[in-house]
Amino acid sequence: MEEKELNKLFNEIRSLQIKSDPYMSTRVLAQTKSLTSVNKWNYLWKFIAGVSFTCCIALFSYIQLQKNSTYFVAEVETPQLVKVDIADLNLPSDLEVEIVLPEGVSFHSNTYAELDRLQSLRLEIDSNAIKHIPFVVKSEIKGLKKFQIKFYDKSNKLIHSKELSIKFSEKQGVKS
Amino acid sequence: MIDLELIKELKLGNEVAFKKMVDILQPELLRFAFMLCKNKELSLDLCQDCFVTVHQKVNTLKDEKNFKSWVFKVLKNKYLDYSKSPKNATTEDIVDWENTVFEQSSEDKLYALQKLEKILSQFDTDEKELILLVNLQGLSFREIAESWNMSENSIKTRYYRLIKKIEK
Repeated sequence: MEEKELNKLFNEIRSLQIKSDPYMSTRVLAQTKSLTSVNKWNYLWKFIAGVSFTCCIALFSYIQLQKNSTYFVAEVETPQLVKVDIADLNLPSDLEVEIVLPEGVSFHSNTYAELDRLQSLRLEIDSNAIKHIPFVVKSEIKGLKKFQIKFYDKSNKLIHSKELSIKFSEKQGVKS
Repeated sequence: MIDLELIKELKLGNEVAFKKMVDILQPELLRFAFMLCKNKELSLDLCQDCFVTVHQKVNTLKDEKNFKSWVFKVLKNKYLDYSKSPKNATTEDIVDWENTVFEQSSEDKLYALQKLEKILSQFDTDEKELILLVNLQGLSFREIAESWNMSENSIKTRYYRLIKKIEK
């Protein structure tokens, strides 16, 4: 087919009248309006879902934080007896335990007054004979203090460790 | 005719301008859609979908001069989306020449349509689009090149290669 013939063909087709749809623009505008309202709902639902999800995550994190931050409460400048339960730890019978005190906290003993100069104490214990390790501490400053309790076997290998939190607050009746 | 003023009004969301644009472009788009899909109902659906997209995305059009070629590109993409969908896959390709987007036409003109359809059937959608845009819609090579993000020369080379194939 020659180019002239092709042009003639296209001219013929171009001359054909088209049956246009007189309601096309009305239908298109109606469709775009309904799409816009559907999109608005979609955005709203997405927003609500997003906010709910964020709230759930925040709540979960808060609960976890609360779980992790369990602590005992004590007063400053007051000797406080601490008992570390070891019955459920399944430790070997002969072992050493090291109690490491945080800054501002000291041991307290009426019999062995020199203990208050130590920041850590290492003791030999028989886990079959005792169910808990008792010690008395005293804090000069307020705040949350974390104690490290480390357990070593005969070969001086760390076999277990525990962290204990005590929140020291103002003595009752004393204003800061 | 679609002028720059009308496109600016479209971008502002003017419904009167939109209706005017639909009235102007609908016949050309319908003819183009029919030459691609050879089905009257589908041509109308494709045109409607195309106008919906134009209404929603006209603000993304950077160069208003390319509006017309952009609209044809939207229509072609609608057709490609339709034909790619597995639920629309057909094995038969029968054209109902009694039921077209054209007004009552003479036997000669129907014959011309069938002849063009036969010529176009050897090409893929992009090639058909190029032939139709140049010969039926009268778009310039520059307009097509800008819309297709190609150089004018490569569009020309492509077009003349297709014409040579038709002449054979």
